[in-house]
Amino acid sequence: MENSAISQPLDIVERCKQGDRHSYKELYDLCKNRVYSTAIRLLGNAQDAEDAVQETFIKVFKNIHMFRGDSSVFTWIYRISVNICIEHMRKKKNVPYHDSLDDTEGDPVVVADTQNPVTARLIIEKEIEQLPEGFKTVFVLHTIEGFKHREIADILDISEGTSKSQLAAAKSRLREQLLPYLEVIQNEL
Amino acid sequence: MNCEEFWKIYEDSGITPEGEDHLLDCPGCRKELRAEKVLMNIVQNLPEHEAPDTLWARIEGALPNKQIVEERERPNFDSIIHYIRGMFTYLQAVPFKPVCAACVIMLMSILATRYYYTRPLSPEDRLLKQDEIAYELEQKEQDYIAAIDKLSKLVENKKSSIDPELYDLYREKIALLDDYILQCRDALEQNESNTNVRTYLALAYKEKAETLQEMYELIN
Repeated sequence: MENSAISQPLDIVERCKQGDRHSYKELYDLCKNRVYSTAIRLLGNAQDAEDAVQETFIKVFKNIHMFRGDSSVFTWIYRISVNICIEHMRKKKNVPYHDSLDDTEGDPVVVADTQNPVTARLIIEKEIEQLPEGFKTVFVLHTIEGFKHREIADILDISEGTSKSQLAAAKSRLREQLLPYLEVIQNEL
Repeated sequence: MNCEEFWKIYEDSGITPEGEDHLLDCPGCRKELRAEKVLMNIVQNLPEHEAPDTLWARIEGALPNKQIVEERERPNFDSIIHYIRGMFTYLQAVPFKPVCAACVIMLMSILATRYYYTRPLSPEDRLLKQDEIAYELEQKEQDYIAAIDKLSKLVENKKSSIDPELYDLYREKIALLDDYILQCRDALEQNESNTNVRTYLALAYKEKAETLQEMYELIN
């Protein structure tokens, strides 16, 4: 999905700034699934994702008057959403967010049983969920949600170079994890 | 080209001719490239998760009305702009041009009236104004003189009815007023346009007329 293809609903935002409840719902409907999908892929379960989405939109509506239109309203909402998800991940793991390539150390890696009949999609989703926080966030935003490195850098407050290197590392990790299942997955496809 | 260089170039530019050469000699990268294609194929077709229908109710419930109103009423640049826009929206409902024209006419009338009564007079205007005052005073003088002549004749005919001592006092007062009137007339011969002297003269005539009126009332 290409983020830049979505036009910015400035009129909805303006009405939200005036406290119009119907416009709150309109704005929510426009991006709820994408925010929820991102949250569920970053946090790994529906309950945490729902909490994160709720927290995201409460923050969005309380601070909508601070949105100046310097970036897309979607980028602004996803920045809030991703930062809330990162906070949730930190609370869960009780470790700080790393944007270096060394943050793979110490992360548990779940190795699936190759004898079990699992679908290709489930394997991939499981492996994504097991990625280190920094890798997972950039991989989900870029490869699944379609954000550009410039937008990811803006959302996560990191450099474009860091975004690119984290994506390369995430893909390398996923390829490595997929190799044992490659024959099974290719047969399914 | 080694494996690390292959993947670095692959991430930026895809498979280059040099990369194809590397793949021919590297079964590990060939297998990993297959994994890469499988990964991208699956990931880019992952379904979007649908947010539960109950989620909006949770969000709406967690947004107290009061809190939203407070945020909206907090003075900030946007709310000021919104308020000004609201004022313009209200003014659009008013027949703006006629109201504006009426206000301008009223204001100009007030200013013109104020200017007329407080304007500095030119020398010509000042002379005209003095002539106007002098003419009015002269008319009053003529009226007082006519009244004095009439009252003098009436009092003269019946002066025996007045107490002699009181009559003498009245005569003395009238003699003083006549003397004052003569002095004023002498001054006016020197400068006919002296409105101050003409005013004193009119007041002296008025006083003489009122004194004669008192004498006449005493007689009757």
